[in-house]
Amino acid sequence: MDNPIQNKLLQYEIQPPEGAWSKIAESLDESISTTLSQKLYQYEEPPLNDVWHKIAVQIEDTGNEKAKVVPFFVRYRRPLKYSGAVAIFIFFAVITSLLVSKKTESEIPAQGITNDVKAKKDTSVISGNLENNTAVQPMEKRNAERPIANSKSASIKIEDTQPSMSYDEYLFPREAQRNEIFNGSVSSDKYMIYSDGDGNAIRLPKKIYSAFACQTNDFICKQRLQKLRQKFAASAVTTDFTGILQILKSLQENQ
Amino acid sequence: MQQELYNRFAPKMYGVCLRYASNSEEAEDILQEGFIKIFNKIGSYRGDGSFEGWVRRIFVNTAIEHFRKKMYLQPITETEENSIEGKYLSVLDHLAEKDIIQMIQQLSPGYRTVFNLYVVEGYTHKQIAELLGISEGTSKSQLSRAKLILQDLVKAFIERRKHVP
Repeated sequence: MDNPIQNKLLQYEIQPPEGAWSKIAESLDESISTTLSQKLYQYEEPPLNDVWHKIAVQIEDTGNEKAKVVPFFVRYRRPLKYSGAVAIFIFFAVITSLLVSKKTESEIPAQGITNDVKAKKDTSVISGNLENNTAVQPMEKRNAERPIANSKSASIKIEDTQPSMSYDEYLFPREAQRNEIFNGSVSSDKYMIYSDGDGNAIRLPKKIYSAFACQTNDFICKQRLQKLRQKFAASAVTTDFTGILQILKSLQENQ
Repeated sequence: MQQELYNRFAPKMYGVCLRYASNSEEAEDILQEGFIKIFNKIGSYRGDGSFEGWVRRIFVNTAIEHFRKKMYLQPITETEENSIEGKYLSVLDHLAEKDIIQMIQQLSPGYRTVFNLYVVEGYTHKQIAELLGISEGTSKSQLSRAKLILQDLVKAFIERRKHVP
């Protein structure tokens, strides 16, 4: 071959196209990345000896923590305390309710009697008003058809020693006042209870009571009652039914 | 039994720890943490797959947890990513593992973790994104940055070797 041509071809240089090196580098990277990753993946290096000691100490600590036994009463101290308190409270509540219900049961049959006993107590107040009122006496005798104290005196005495716990203010009429406004809707206010000279409790409707009883300073009332008494005395002769009708008529007139 | 397990896997796992850690002290911490986890969770190994793979996964996760707070995963734009060219990475193939690991340790925790997960462990960008709680794009950009820094480190290493008599 001609020397100048050979030299020309041998010395011929041309710039490669742009990005040629990048492609080569990329392919190189791809090929090496697998070997590099394998190399690094399999890389081993023994750690220092004291690492195992540290790990062993830590394992021992965690093992000791696991072996720690917490007693049941220590672990659940608070819930046990609260549940105990609740149990005690419930126990006392049940006992109390049982006792109360037992007591009220025993009181129910004797209620009527208790009313009367209470009335007996109340009459000490009322009797002061009735002391000077002689007109009441005949009425007492009529109402003696219902002798409360005699037949049930034994029970009354027992009740007297054991004062009732409840219902007193609802079942017994309040202290009688002549000028008090009468409320007929409340059944317990319909009656007055007072005692006679022998200490017997007598119950009267309030309407009748107001017809017979007077306040100490009410002279008009007293005069009215005097007249009424005279009428009673006059009609006492006729003890038949017509006589009684006459008495009731005169009472209505007075009212 | 536990010590036997440790003796069997410690060198390999220490190598893993060294790749994820920035120095040998940190690597020891991760190794310790990882083995404690393995001893505590050994009952949960169901026998699916190799035991070494299970151990390695625990160590990788421990390393990630260890550096999760330190990692600062700064995303870079796609143009930047494309401009990065691998020129010197092929040199890594001819370097000793110890030297490579020393270079990897110089990377910041974020770059290092993504590089290890993608290049060495073989995770996909999607898996890395799920594992680290980042987007796929961020994972890609972190890898590109890591490669760029490694190129510089390789270049510097070659220069240093040239001057050594």
